[in-house]
Amino acid sequence: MTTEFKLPELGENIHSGDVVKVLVREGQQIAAGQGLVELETDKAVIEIPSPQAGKVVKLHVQKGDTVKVGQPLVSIEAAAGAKPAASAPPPQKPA
Amino acid sequence: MDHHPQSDSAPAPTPTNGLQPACAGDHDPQETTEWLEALESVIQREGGQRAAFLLERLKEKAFRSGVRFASSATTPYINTIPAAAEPPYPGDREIERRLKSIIRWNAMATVVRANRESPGIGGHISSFASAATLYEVAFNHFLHGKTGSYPGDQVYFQGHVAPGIYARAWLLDRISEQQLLNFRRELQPGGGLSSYPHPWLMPDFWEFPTVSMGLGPLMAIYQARFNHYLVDRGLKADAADSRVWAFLGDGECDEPETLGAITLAAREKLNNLIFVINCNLQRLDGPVRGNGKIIQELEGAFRGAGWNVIKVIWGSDWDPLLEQDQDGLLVRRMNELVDGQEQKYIAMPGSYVREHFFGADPRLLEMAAHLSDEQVSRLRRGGHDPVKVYAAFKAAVESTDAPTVILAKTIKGYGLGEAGEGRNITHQQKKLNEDELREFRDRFGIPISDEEIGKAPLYRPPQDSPEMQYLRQRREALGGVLPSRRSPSAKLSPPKWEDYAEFFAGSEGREVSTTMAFVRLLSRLMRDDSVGKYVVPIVPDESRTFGMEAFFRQFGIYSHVGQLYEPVDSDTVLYYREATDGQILEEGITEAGSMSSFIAAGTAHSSHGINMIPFFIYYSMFGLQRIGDLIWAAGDMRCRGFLMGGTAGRTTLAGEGLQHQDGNSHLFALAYPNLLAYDPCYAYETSVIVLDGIRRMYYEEEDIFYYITLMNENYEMPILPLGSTEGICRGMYKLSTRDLGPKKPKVQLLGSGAILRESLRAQEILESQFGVGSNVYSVTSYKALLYDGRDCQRWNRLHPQEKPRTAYAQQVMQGETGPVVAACDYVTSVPLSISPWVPGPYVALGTDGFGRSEARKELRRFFEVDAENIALAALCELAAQDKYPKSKLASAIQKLGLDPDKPNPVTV
Repeated sequence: MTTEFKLPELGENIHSGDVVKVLVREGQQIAAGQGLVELETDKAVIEIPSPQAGKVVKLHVQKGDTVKVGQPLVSIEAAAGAKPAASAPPPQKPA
Repeated sequence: MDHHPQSDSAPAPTPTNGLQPACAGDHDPQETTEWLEALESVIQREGGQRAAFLLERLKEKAFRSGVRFASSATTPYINTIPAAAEPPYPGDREIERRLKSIIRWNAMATVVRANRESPGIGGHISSFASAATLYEVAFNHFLHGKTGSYPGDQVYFQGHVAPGIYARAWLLDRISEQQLLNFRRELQPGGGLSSYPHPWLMPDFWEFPTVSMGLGPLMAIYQARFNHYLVDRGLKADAADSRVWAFLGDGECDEPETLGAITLAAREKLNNLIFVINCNLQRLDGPVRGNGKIIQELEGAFRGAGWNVIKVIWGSDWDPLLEQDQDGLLVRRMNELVDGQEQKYIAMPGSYVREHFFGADPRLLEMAAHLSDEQVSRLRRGGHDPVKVYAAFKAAVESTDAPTVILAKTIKGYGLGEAGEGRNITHQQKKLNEDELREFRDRFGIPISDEEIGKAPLYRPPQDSPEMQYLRQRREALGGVLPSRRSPSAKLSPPKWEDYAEFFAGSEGREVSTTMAFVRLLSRLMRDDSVGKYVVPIVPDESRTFGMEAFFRQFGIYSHVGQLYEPVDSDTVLYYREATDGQILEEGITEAGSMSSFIAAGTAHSSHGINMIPFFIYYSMFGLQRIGDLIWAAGDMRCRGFLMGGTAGRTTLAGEGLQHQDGNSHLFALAYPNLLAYDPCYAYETSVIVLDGIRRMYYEEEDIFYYITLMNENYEMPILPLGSTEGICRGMYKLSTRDLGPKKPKVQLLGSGAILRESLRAQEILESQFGVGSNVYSVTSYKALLYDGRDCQRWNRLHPQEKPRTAYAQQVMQGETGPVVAACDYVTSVPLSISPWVPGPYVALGTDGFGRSEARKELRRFFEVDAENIALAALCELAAQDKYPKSKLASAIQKLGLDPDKPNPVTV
């Protein structure tokens, strides 16, 4: 199953960023949590992690693009057995 | 079941916001007795735990019923550990006593002899005299040496007791007699000993400098915390019985740093941390708390913070008296006595103590009736009683869930008798006459003859004597000698430059700040195979200011307990993630605490045999200016790492104003001998400096550390110019040349930090508007140029027959002529420091004066460091050399749009 991964909420008061580096290429197998792109916001460079393991089937952005929250970044074909997650990996459960 | 006050059948107490006096007199002694008997019966039948539970419930009930009484943060003024609960003493007390006496003697003789040889050289006798039992019990039974990868105990010795530590080290043949006789004379033939603990001066001996008072205890807390960090991150095996001991004085607790971080120690449950506070009630000028009780005050503070507090107030001689004290009269008398009065008793005969202390109540007099005056005067304080001290230390090392503080009451100048025991002058006492020496000798039974006594000779028993054998055996059993600093090689492979090519490639049209570029570099370093896991990013609650929030998720914020809550921003990518193996130390708003973590990490090469790479990123104004003394201590400790002064530059940090705009730190940095200071303008410069710094500190293992300023002004970052890396590291390189031919005048422009771009703009103005050529140099480090220049100058002075050396600044500007105009975002003294090595007349523009809230452009005009002011300075200097017509200067000022009547920025 292929999922379109959209730029998730980054943090409070951050709505978009410029792609300074694309860290994966089409056809590449990736692990959950692996960096997909590096985005530069007003003063921070943020690496956007993949929500799931699988294969990158399409890149929707390239270096230099400005990407807004909610805009598609990559399409990922889920690895066998991997469940697509809606957003970033959740924080560890409180003890 | 709890009752709300209103529902209680009992009459409600008088409503009051104040506290109700707890000691308003006992109106109903019978009722009091009944309550006490009830409590006693619970203790007898069900034990102390049950009694504590009931008392807690009573307190809660009273509170909910509106009864307010003064805090119970303190306990009665008696030993925390009752005599009945003391463990048996494991050592040979007689041998230990003799050894302690010998060490006392030698410590005293060291100071006395040093001051005879060289009057005024100073030193302290009475601090060690008061603390000898504390140290000797610790040395014989508790303090672990370093063995293999086991770090042993990290001990912060109180600086003023150094003579005692040296005296012991001499018995163990660790230092020579010559060295001991050269105490405080480090430049004498045969070597000497530093006055206080200084790893820089005695790198095989001392680990922690402690005489800037307050810094020792503060650093000890963060050291203990960092030891947990290393274990939690899997970088070090858990050495559960390795502890951090900080010995300090009660007077030292007036330094805010001493108590400033004690809540952190309790919050982090630092059961590996022990404070031993030598409470001799005396500071330099007089009593620490003449009108109060320092031990009670400290107990309240530490208990309130959540520490395990052990008071060692009275020696064993008092035990029988306290046992007799069924109605609590003696304890009440102990409680009400102020320290100033107690100090008086030390200096007075037993008869005085009987009259004034026990004489307060006939029943107390009766209690002491069987004691002679001599016995009364010898009722000891707890800190001089090895049994009491041992019991306290043992309880401390067995504490499992909290740090421990031991408050040990002692006598300053113990054993000095008339020469200073318990006297106000005792801290400064450093000379004893022959009678005083004889009294000291007799009191401690040192085998020195009357003929010899006047010379205050050192005394060491034969090597095969029981004392010397015991001394050695105890240390062998505990893993070796202390203090001992190691410098094992823990070389890291430096990062490969080719992996970092993107950091030299420029920003390709994007406008970024050096802070952003650095944070990106740091993120890359943290993922580097060779050095990544050793990087320790430290921030005082400013991660978001520096654009480091992405680190939270990626690397985690260190928290021993992990994250016990779901963070409010958990649905975002950059959520606030705390983790037991988190790499970031987010210290909260404390530069002093962050710096202490930096020191713990930056000295891990020595304390743990691991080269950790701390990066402490902070508002530059709050570094060298605010915590300069800790940075000085870091230098002394041969600490390695990077201090990153963020939001730097008086005119580059817009808006924030007078308190935040830093134009000072590079001036202060000049004074720290092993601190390298850089003010780079471009991302590639920062990257080169950091990567070369990692090589020098962690591969070459140089004992240096770095200060690098970072700015938040966004501009395009150029590509690393070919051949510039050496210059970047050594302090300057030529960046841009506009040669307009031999007929046109030419100047040299030095720019640094964000102001380099103003120098480049001045180059344009000079060429296009005034026909003046120029070279622009990027000066990354005035300090590097200054130190190099001075070194050359000194060498040339001492070697007049040899070919003179040329300073690096001179080499870079070889063949050029002045004038030279420097501009930077710091006070002018910084660029002026290199004036001997620049060709021709030299003018420096800087930002002397108080900052203020404004935008960058206006600030640079205000401080006269913008391109127009640089251009004018160049023209004026050319005019002074007749290379530009003086008559045209007034029109130049006009052309440049400068206001000649503007006030001097340093005055407004």
